[in-house]
Amino acid sequence: MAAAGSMSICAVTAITGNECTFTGSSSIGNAAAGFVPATTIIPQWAGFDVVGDIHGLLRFAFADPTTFEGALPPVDLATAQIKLTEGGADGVVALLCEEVYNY
Amino acid sequence: MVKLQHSILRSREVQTSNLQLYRFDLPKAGCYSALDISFRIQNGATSAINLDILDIIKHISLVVNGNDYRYHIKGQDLFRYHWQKYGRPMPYTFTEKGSATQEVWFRLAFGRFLGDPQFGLDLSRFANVQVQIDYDAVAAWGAAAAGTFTTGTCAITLVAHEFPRASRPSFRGMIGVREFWTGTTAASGTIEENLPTANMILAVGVSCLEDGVAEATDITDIKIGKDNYNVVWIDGKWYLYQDLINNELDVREEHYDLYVASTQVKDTHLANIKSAVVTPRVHTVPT
Repeated sequence: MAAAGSMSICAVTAITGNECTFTGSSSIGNAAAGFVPATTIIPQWAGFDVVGDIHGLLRFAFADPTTFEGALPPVDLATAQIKLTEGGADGVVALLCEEVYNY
Repeated sequence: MVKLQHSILRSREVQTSNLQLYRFDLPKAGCYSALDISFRIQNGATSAINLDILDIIKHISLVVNGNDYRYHIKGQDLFRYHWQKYGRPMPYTFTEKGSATQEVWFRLAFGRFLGDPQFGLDLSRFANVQVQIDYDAVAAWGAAAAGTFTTGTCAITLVAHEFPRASRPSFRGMIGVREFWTGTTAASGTIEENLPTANMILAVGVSCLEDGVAEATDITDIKIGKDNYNVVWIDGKWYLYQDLINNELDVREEHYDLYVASTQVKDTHLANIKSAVVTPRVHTVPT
Protein backbone atom coordinates (compact mmCIF):
# COMPACT_ATOMS: atom_id res chain seq x y z
CA MET A 1 0.00 0.00 0.00
CA ALA A 2 1.32 3.39 -0.89
CA ALA A 3 2.33 5.64 1.98
CA ALA A 4 0.30 8.77 2.45
CA GLY A 5 1.91 12.10 2.10
CA SER A 6 0.97 15.71 2.60
CA MET A 7 1.87 18.99 1.06
CA SER A 8 0.98 22.31 2.68
CA ILE A 9 0.95 25.90 1.77
CA CYS A 10 0.35 28.80 4.13
CA ALA A 11 0.07 32.52 3.69
CA VAL A 12 -0.32 35.63 5.78
CA THR A 13 -3.74 36.76 4.67
CA ALA A 14 -4.35 39.64 7.05
CA ILE A 15 -2.15 42.13 8.86
CA THR A 16 -3.44 44.57 11.45
CA GLY A 17 -0.86 46.58 13.30
CA ASN A 18 1.63 44.06 14.65
CA GLU A 19 -0.70 41.10 14.20
CA CYS A 20 -0.53 38.62 11.33
CA THR A 21 -3.25 36.09 10.51
CA PHE A 22 -2.39 32.87 8.73
CA THR A 23 -4.46 30.85 6.29
CA GLY A 24 -3.26 27.56 4.88
CA SER A 25 -4.30 24.29 3.36
CA SER A 26 -2.84 20.83 3.12
CA SER A 27 -3.23 18.31 0.32
CA ILE A 28 -3.26 14.74 1.57
CA GLY A 29 -2.89 11.57 -0.44
CA ASN A 30 -0.35 9.52 -2.32
CA ALA A 31 1.19 9.26 -5.71
CA ALA A 32 -1.07 6.43 -6.85
CA ALA A 33 -4.40 7.79 -5.73
CA GLY A 34 -3.62 11.45 -6.07
CA PHE A 35 -3.92 14.26 -3.58
CA VAL A 36 -7.08 15.64 -2.12
CA PRO A 37 -6.94 19.24 -0.99
CA ALA A 38 -8.23 20.01 2.47
CA THR A 39 -9.75 23.34 3.42
CA THR A 40 -7.41 23.88 6.33
CA ILE A 41 -3.77 23.28 7.00
CA ILE A 42 -2.61 20.41 9.15
CA PRO A 43 -1.18 22.21 12.19
CA GLN A 44 2.55 22.11 11.74
CA TRP A 45 5.86 23.83 12.27
CA ALA A 46 6.65 26.78 10.11
CA GLY A 47 9.26 29.46 9.82
CA PHE A 48 7.99 33.02 9.85
CA ASP A 49 9.90 36.12 8.81
CA VAL A 50 8.44 39.56 9.14
CA VAL A 51 9.80 42.96 8.10
CA GLY A 52 8.53 46.34 9.26
CA ASP A 53 8.96 49.16 11.75
CA ILE A 54 9.41 48.62 15.47
CA HIS A 55 5.96 48.29 16.94
CA GLY A 56 4.65 50.79 19.44
CA LEU A 57 7.75 52.63 20.59
CA LEU A 58 9.42 55.86 19.55
CA ARG A 59 12.72 57.10 20.97
CA PHE A 60 13.31 60.82 20.64
CA ALA A 61 17.02 61.47 20.97
CA PHE A 62 17.92 64.99 22.04
CA ALA A 63 21.63 64.44 22.55
CA ASP A 64 24.43 63.67 20.17
CA PRO A 65 25.32 60.07 21.07
CA THR A 66 29.02 60.89 21.47
CA THR A 67 29.26 64.46 22.73
CA PHE A 68 25.84 64.69 24.45
CA GLU A 69 25.42 68.05 22.74
CA GLY A 70 21.73 68.93 22.70
CA ALA A 71 20.88 67.02 25.87
CA LEU A 72 18.26 68.65 28.06
CA PRO A 73 19.88 69.98 31.24
CA PRO A 74 17.91 70.26 34.49
CA VAL A 75 17.61 74.03 34.02
CA ASP A 76 15.57 73.40 30.88
CA LEU A 77 13.53 70.66 32.49
CA ALA A 78 11.90 72.71 35.23
CA THR A 79 8.97 73.54 32.97
CA ALA A 80 9.38 70.75 30.39
CA GLN A 81 6.34 68.69 29.46
CA ILE A 82 5.21 66.02 27.08
CA LYS A 83 1.74 65.94 25.56
CA LEU A 84 0.21 62.96 23.77
CA THR A 85 -2.98 63.19 21.74
CA GLU A 86 -5.15 60.13 22.25
CA GLY A 87 -7.09 58.59 19.38
CA GLY A 88 -8.00 55.11 20.58
CA ALA A 89 -8.68 53.34 23.84
CA ASP A 90 -6.67 50.65 25.60
CA GLY A 91 -3.17 51.44 24.41
CA VAL A 92 -0.76 50.62 27.23
CA VAL A 93 1.49 53.65 27.56
CA ALA A 94 4.87 54.06 29.20
CA LEU A 95 6.90 57.26 29.13
CA LEU A 96 10.63 56.64 29.38
CA CYS A 97 13.57 58.90 30.05
CA GLU A 98 17.20 58.20 29.32
CA GLU A 99 19.26 60.15 31.81
CA VAL A 100 22.85 60.82 32.81
CA TYR A 101 23.57 60.39 36.51
CA ASN A 102 26.70 62.27 37.52
CA TYR A 103 29.08 60.82 40.12
CA MET B 1 40.55 51.29 24.01
CA VAL B 2 40.68 48.82 26.88
CA LYS B 3 39.58 45.27 26.12
CA LEU B 4 36.59 44.53 28.33
CA GLN B 5 36.16 41.29 30.22
CA HIS B 6 33.01 39.19 30.16
CA SER B 7 32.28 38.54 33.81
CA ILE B 8 29.74 35.72 34.03
CA LEU B 9 27.77 36.48 37.18
CA ARG B 10 25.05 33.91 36.61
CA SER B 11 24.81 31.27 33.90
CA ARG B 12 21.34 29.96 33.09
CA GLU B 13 20.47 29.89 36.76
CA VAL B 14 17.25 27.89 36.89
CA GLN B 15 14.49 29.34 39.04
CA THR B 16 12.07 27.05 40.81
CA SER B 17 9.42 29.76 40.85
CA ASN B 18 7.34 30.65 37.79
CA LEU B 19 6.82 34.16 39.15
CA GLN B 20 8.94 36.24 41.48
CA LEU B 21 10.94 39.38 41.98
CA TYR B 22 14.41 38.01 41.31
CA ARG B 23 17.14 39.97 43.08
CA PHE B 24 20.88 39.74 42.58
CA ASP B 25 23.38 41.91 44.43
CA LEU B 26 26.26 42.95 42.21
CA PRO B 27 29.81 42.84 43.60
CA LYS B 28 30.95 45.72 45.81
CA ALA B 29 33.63 46.82 43.38
CA GLY B 30 34.09 46.88 39.64
CA CYS B 31 33.52 49.13 36.64
CA TYR B 32 30.85 47.96 34.21
CA SER B 33 30.29 49.31 30.74
CA ALA B 34 27.11 47.26 30.38
CA LEU B 35 25.23 44.36 31.90
CA ASP B 36 23.62 41.74 29.67
CA ILE B 37 20.65 39.77 30.95
CA SER B 38 19.19 36.65 29.41
CA PHE B 39 15.83 35.17 30.32
CA ARG B 40 14.83 31.67 29.21
CA ILE B 41 11.73 29.53 29.58
CA GLN B 42 10.81 26.13 28.21
CA ASN B 43 7.57 25.75 26.27
CA GLY B 44 4.96 23.19 27.24
CA ALA B 45 5.16 19.72 25.76
CA THR B 46 2.83 20.54 22.85
CA SER B 47 3.39 24.16 21.88
CA ALA B 48 3.26 27.77 23.02
CA ILE B 49 1.11 29.41 20.39
CA ASN B 50 1.24 33.21 20.21
CA LEU B 51 2.78 33.46 23.68
CA ASP B 52 5.42 36.17 23.92
CA ILE B 53 8.35 35.70 26.28
CA LEU B 54 8.62 39.49 26.56
CA ASP B 55 5.21 39.59 28.24
CA ILE B 56 6.63 37.55 31.11
CA ILE B 57 9.19 40.24 32.03
CA LYS B 58 7.17 42.78 33.99
CA HIS B 59 10.20 44.93 34.80
CA ILE B 60 13.96 44.85 34.70
CA SER B 61 15.56 47.22 37.19
CA LEU B 62 18.94 48.34 38.39
CA VAL B 63 18.53 49.69 41.90
CA VAL B 64 21.30 51.51 43.75
CA ASN B 65 21.37 52.09 47.49
CA GLY B 66 18.06 50.35 47.97
CA ASN B 67 15.62 52.76 46.33
CA ASP B 68 17.28 54.65 43.48
CA TYR B 69 16.10 53.09 40.21
CA ARG B 70 18.64 53.78 37.46
CA TYR B 71 16.97 51.28 35.13
CA HIS B 72 13.30 50.39 35.49
CA ILE B 73 11.57 49.27 32.32
CA LYS B 74 9.24 46.55 31.06
CA GLY B 75 10.64 43.69 28.99
CA GLN B 76 8.57 44.69 25.96
CA ASP B 77 9.88 48.24 26.15
CA LEU B 78 13.52 47.40 26.87
CA PHE B 79 13.69 45.02 23.90
CA ARG B 80 12.28 47.68 21.59
CA TYR B 81 14.22 50.59 23.13
CA HIS B 82 17.56 48.87 22.65
CA TRP B 83 16.63 47.95 19.10
CA GLN B 84 15.68 51.52 18.24
CA LYS B 85 18.75 53.06 19.91
CA TYR B 86 21.36 50.68 18.53
CA GLY B 87 19.69 49.72 15.24
CA ARG B 88 19.45 46.01 15.92
CA PRO B 89 17.76 43.80 18.49
CA MET B 90 19.54 41.83 21.16
CA PRO B 91 19.70 38.06 20.46
CA TYR B 92 16.48 36.12 20.79
CA THR B 93 14.85 32.77 20.15
CA PHE B 94 11.12 33.09 19.62
CA THR B 95 9.64 29.65 19.07
CA GLU B 96 6.28 27.98 19.54
CA LYS B 97 7.66 24.44 19.35
CA GLY B 98 6.75 21.97 22.05
CA SER B 99 9.41 21.65 24.78
CA ALA B 100 11.63 24.15 22.97
CA THR B 101 13.36 26.85 24.99
CA GLN B 102 12.61 30.48 24.26
CA GLU B 103 15.21 33.07 25.14
CA VAL B 104 15.62 36.81 24.96
CA TRP B 105 18.58 39.01 25.86
CA PHE B 106 18.56 42.53 27.22
CA ARG B 107 21.40 45.01 27.71
CA LEU B 108 21.65 47.67 30.39
CA ALA B 109 24.12 50.06 28.77
CA PHE B 110 25.79 52.41 31.24
CA GLY B 111 28.07 54.20 28.77
CA ARG B 112 27.83 55.76 25.35
CA PHE B 113 29.37 52.60 23.86
CA LEU B 114 30.99 49.41 25.11
CA GLY B 115 34.33 50.41 26.62
CA ASP B 116 33.38 54.06 27.20
CA PRO B 117 36.00 55.32 29.69
CA GLN B 118 33.91 58.34 30.75
CA PHE B 119 30.49 56.89 31.47
CA GLY B 120 29.71 53.59 33.17
CA LEU B 121 28.64 51.89 36.38
CA ASP B 122 31.24 52.16 39.15
CA LEU B 123 30.06 49.72 41.79
CA SER B 124 32.35 51.16 44.46
CA ARG B 125 30.35 54.39 44.44
CA PHE B 126 27.35 52.75 46.05
CA ALA B 127 26.59 50.84 49.22
CA ASN B 128 24.56 48.34 47.21
CA VAL B 129 23.72 47.77 43.56
CA GLN B 130 21.01 45.23 42.82
CA VAL B 131 19.61 43.77 39.61
CA GLN B 132 15.92 43.04 39.84
CA ILE B 133 13.92 40.99 37.35
CA ASP B 134 10.21 40.99 38.08
CA TYR B 135 8.72 38.17 36.04
CA ASP B 136 5.43 36.28 36.01
CA ALA B 137 4.95 33.46 33.53
CA VAL B 138 1.56 32.52 34.97
CA ALA B 139 -0.02 35.95 34.57
CA ALA B 140 1.39 36.34 31.06
CA TRP B 141 0.85 32.85 29.67
CA GLY B 142 -1.50 31.08 32.06
CA ALA B 143 -0.76 28.14 34.32
CA ALA B 144 1.95 25.69 33.32
CA ALA B 145 0.47 23.24 30.80
CA ALA B 146 1.24 21.42 27.58
CA GLY B 147 0.15 24.45 25.58
CA THR B 148 1.93 27.09 27.67
CA PHE B 149 5.18 26.44 29.55
CA THR B 150 6.96 23.82 31.60
CA THR B 151 7.00 24.66 35.29
CA GLY B 152 10.29 25.50 36.95
CA THR B 153 12.19 26.28 33.75
CA CYS B 154 12.73 30.02 33.96
CA ALA B 155 16.47 30.64 33.85
CA ILE B 156 18.51 33.80 34.20
CA THR B 157 21.96 34.72 32.94
CA LEU B 158 23.87 37.85 33.95
CA VAL B 159 27.02 38.89 32.09
CA ALA B 160 28.91 42.08 32.90
CA HIS B 161 31.04 43.89 30.35
CA GLU B 162 33.69 44.88 32.85
CA PHE B 163 36.88 46.89 32.76
CA PRO B 164 39.91 44.88 33.90
CA ARG B 165 40.91 45.51 37.51
CA ALA B 166 44.22 47.03 36.42
CA SER B 167 42.62 49.62 34.17
CA ARG B 168 39.44 50.76 35.84
CA PRO B 169 38.48 54.22 34.59
CA SER B 170 37.25 57.14 36.65
CA PHE B 171 33.74 57.58 35.30
CA ARG B 172 32.07 61.01 35.18
CA GLY B 173 28.64 59.45 35.35
CA MET B 174 26.38 56.65 34.14
CA ILE B 175 23.41 56.35 31.80
CA GLY B 176 20.07 54.89 32.89
CA VAL B 177 16.63 54.41 31.37
CA ARG B 178 13.47 54.36 33.46
CA GLU B 179 9.74 54.75 33.27
CA PHE B 180 8.45 58.00 34.62
CA TRP B 181 4.77 57.52 33.81
CA THR B 182 2.52 54.64 32.82
CA GLY B 183 -1.15 54.51 31.93
CA THR B 184 -3.73 53.57 29.35
CA THR B 185 -5.08 55.64 26.48
CA ALA B 186 -8.66 56.77 26.15
CA ALA B 187 -10.60 57.07 22.92
CA SER B 188 -9.92 60.80 22.87
CA GLY B 189 -8.24 63.50 24.91
CA THR B 190 -4.65 64.19 25.88
CA ILE B 191 -2.05 62.83 28.25
CA GLU B 192 0.22 65.54 29.60
CA GLU B 193 3.09 64.93 31.98
CA ASN B 194 6.10 66.80 33.33
CA LEU B 195 9.50 65.48 32.37
CA PRO B 196 11.77 64.41 35.23
CA THR B 197 13.96 67.30 36.33
CA ALA B 198 16.78 65.87 38.44
CA ASN B 199 19.20 64.74 35.74
CA MET B 200 20.26 65.62 32.22
CA ILE B 201 17.99 63.88 29.70
CA LEU B 202 19.49 62.34 26.57
CA ALA B 203 16.30 60.93 25.11
CA VAL B 204 12.62 60.41 25.79
CA GLY B 205 10.80 57.24 24.85
CA VAL B 206 7.09 56.88 24.21
CA SER B 207 5.74 53.34 24.28
CA CYS B 208 2.14 52.61 23.31
CA LEU B 209 1.40 48.93 22.89
CA GLU B 210 -1.81 47.26 21.80
CA ASP B 211 -1.83 44.10 19.73
CA GLY B 212 -3.82 44.10 16.53
CA VAL B 213 -4.22 47.86 16.30
CA ALA B 214 -2.67 49.99 13.57
CA GLU B 215 0.17 52.28 14.53
CA ALA B 216 -0.68 55.90 15.30
CA THR B 217 -4.19 54.94 16.37
CA ASP B 218 -4.03 55.08 20.16
CA ILE B 219 -1.61 58.02 20.17
CA THR B 220 -1.81 60.26 17.15
CA ASP B 221 0.41 63.22 18.03
CA ILE B 222 3.39 63.89 20.29
CA LYS B 223 4.60 67.22 21.57
CA ILE B 224 7.56 67.90 23.86
CA GLY B 225 8.55 71.38 24.96
CA LYS B 226 8.90 73.78 27.84
CA ASP B 227 7.44 77.02 29.17
CA ASN B 228 3.89 76.06 28.18
CA TYR B 229 5.26 74.99 24.80
CA ASN B 230 6.60 78.41 23.98
CA VAL B 231 9.71 76.38 23.30
CA VAL B 232 8.93 73.24 21.31
CA TRP B 233 11.45 70.44 20.76
CA ILE B 234 9.18 67.77 19.26
CA ASP B 235 5.80 68.31 17.62
CA GLY B 236 4.27 65.99 15.07
CA LYS B 237 2.38 62.89 14.11
CA TRP B 238 3.28 59.45 15.47
CA TYR B 239 3.39 58.04 11.94
CA LEU B 240 5.83 60.68 10.71
CA TYR B 241 8.27 60.15 13.56
CA GLN B 242 7.93 56.41 13.14
CA ASP B 243 9.08 56.69 9.54
CA LEU B 244 11.96 58.99 10.43
CA ILE B 245 13.20 57.00 13.41
CA ASN B 246 12.86 53.54 11.89
CA ASN B 247 14.70 54.68 8.79
CA GLU B 248 17.86 54.61 10.90
CA LEU B 249 17.59 50.90 11.73
CA ASP B 250 20.08 48.35 10.43
CA VAL B 251 17.77 45.41 11.15
CA ARG B 252 14.06 45.60 10.46
CA GLU B 253 13.08 41.95 10.56
CA GLU B 254 12.23 39.25 13.07
CA HIS B 255 12.20 35.49 12.79
CA TYR B 256 9.83 33.14 14.57
CA ASP B 257 9.31 29.39 14.63
CA LEU B 258 5.57 28.85 14.63
CA TYR B 259 3.14 26.03 15.21
CA VAL B 260 0.80 27.23 12.51
CA ALA B 261 -2.84 26.47 11.83
CA SER B 262 -5.51 28.19 9.76
CA THR B 263 -6.89 31.48 11.13
CA GLN B 264 -4.19 31.49 13.79
CA VAL B 265 -2.60 34.84 14.60
CA LYS B 266 0.87 35.93 15.66
CA ASP B 267 1.54 39.17 17.48
CA THR B 268 4.99 40.39 16.46
CA HIS B 269 7.22 43.23 17.65
CA LEU B 270 6.95 44.95 14.28
CA ALA B 271 4.22 47.00 12.65
CA ASN B 272 3.75 48.85 9.36
CA ILE B 273 4.63 45.43 8.02
CA LYS B 274 6.16 45.41 4.55
CA SER B 275 6.73 41.68 4.22
CA ALA B 276 5.48 38.63 6.11
CA VAL B 277 6.44 35.21 4.83
CA VAL B 278 5.45 31.92 6.44
CA THR B 279 7.03 28.70 5.29
CA PRO B 280 5.60 25.35 6.43
CA ARG B 281 8.32 22.93 7.38
CA VAL B 282 6.43 19.67 6.99
CA HIS B 283 6.38 17.96 3.64
CA THR B 284 5.83 14.25 3.79
CA VAL B 285 6.93 12.70 0.55
CA PRO B 286 4.36 10.18 -0.77
CA THR B 287 5.30 6.95 -2.47
